[in-house]
Amino acid sequence: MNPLQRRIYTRIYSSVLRLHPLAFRDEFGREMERDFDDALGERGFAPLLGDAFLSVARQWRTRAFAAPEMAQPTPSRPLLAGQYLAVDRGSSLTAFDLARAALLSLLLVLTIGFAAGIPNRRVIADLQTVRVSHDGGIDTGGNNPPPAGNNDGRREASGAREPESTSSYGTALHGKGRVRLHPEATGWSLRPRTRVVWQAPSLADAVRQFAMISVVVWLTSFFLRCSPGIGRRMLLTALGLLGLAASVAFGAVPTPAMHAQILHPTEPLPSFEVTTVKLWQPRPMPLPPGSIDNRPPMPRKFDPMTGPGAGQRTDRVHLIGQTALLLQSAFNLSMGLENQIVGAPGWVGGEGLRYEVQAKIDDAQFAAMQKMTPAEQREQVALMEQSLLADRFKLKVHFETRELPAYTLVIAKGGAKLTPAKDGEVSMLSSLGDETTGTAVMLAQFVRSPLLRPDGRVVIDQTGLKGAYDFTIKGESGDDASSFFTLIQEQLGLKLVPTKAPVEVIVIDHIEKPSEN
Amino acid sequence: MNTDANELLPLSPATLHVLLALTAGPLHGYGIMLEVARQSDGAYKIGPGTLYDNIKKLLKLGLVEEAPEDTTEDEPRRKYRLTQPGGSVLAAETERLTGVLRKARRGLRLLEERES
Repeated sequence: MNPLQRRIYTRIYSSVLRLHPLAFRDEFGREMERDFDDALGERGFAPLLGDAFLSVARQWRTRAFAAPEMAQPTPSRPLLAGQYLAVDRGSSLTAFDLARAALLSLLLVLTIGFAAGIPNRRVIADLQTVRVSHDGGIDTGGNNPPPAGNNDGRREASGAREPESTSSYGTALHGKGRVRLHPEATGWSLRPRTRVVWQAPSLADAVRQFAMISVVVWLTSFFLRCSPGIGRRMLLTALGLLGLAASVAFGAVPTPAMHAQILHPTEPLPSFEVTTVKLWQPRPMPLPPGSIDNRPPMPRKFDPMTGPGAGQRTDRVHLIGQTALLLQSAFNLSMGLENQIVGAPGWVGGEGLRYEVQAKIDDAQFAAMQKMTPAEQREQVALMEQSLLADRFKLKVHFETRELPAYTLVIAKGGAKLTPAKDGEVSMLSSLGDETTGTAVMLAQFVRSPLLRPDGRVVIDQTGLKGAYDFTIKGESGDDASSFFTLIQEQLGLKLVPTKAPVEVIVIDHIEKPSEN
Repeated sequence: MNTDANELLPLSPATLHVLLALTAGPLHGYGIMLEVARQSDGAYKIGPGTLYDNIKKLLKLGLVEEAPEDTTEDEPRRKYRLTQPGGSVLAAETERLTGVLRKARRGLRLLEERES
């Protein structure tokens, strides 16, 4: 063995020795290096290196699971008494004991939380349709427009009957969420059957889970060891108090949702009394007087958001658009953001097939909904839309969390330039030409609007502003995201910061084109 | 001491060989490694990692102790020697192994008789 080889081997062996616990290394490290040097020529490098790695493993195992060195006889405790509940008679419970218990509890909670967060299971919304009765359809008539100025929650966009929009904000804006009153009919109901199935975690998830739990187990055993020094006592006390404070803070103070949460199906899943779904056929629009060409007039872009004061005030739902739009409405996805829908066939979104969906809410249900808050009403309708999707589109989905490009909406330097809404204002966000107007709009709603997503990212509201506001954005933004963001920053005092965030998505397991009725 | 010694039995092969090596007198680490190999006719060899895992354990149990440094050496090395409790444990293990050997021999003899 030449000197260079020997030097390299010695360097490698020294590196492995550094993996030992500090106490062991301090006591025997130097001797081990000398013995390695003596034995290298006779034994060879590989056996000695393997022996060193085994030693590392043995020493850490010993350190993690060692019994207390100065074990004292302890009075017997009840078999079921926990570590933190059994207090020996005559001994005093110190702040250190409390802090240690708090820290260990926190570690336990984190471990369970982490394990539960691993996506090793999935919820399948498996909805079976049970037709109760069906003795009448709904007049889908496009020739029967709703009364002007209806006050339903999903406002009618003037001129939006024609979804052949050339909106610069994407196709999801087309003709969505319109509601109108309609004749009565009886219908059917759905029987939901939600089940949770085991799904083997990915290798990466399994490794993360194992590593996290190993660390926690090691930390737990480390902190459980007796006879801590004063430094460790102080550190543990501080950590324990911090853990307690964090537990109290997270448990007692409701934290705002990072972004819009997907509405999961619940049992029993409500359903519309009757629905009709038809492939939508665009009808030629008559030329408006004075038109110089035969193109349809530019419809007004309209976002039918409902504010805190507005609820479901009609028993009808009328929607024209791609199936993705219905999915977004049913599962509370960000409108117009199709990257939250995974595994959908081409006809579901984009420039795919458009359907005209009309539905009526059962009278009794509608009466019951009048006692709900607007948010609860919206959720109820969304769940009915889930029923409709399961019934007519044979939809089956499960939910996953994925890391997606996103923006966070924060307050820019200089503060927000928003005017608090007046009492009684109906929430509305509309865009006409180069002017976008918000009336009684909450920022949590604003971030879900396609107006704020020219490049299709989820927007997370981190402004901390809870109220409803009036605002106007003026200026041509074109298709360039950055120019629109500049307008928002200049005129609203809000800033969009690009980031990546875990976003819950819908994965479509099955969907088929509906048969018309 | 016998009671305590018996509580530590059976010894692992490495521990037994380290204790056995130290019956030759105070030895430093590499000396113990060589002695272990010599006593087993080269059939059993331990590396520094295994050696010091055992030394640490034996020091903690008081079965070996550090011998005074030899000031005559240029680079004095830490040497270890067997303590009286260490000797007792080794004796108890030897006794146990003797019993095992005796039973093994008897069992083999009976097996041969049945086969013949």
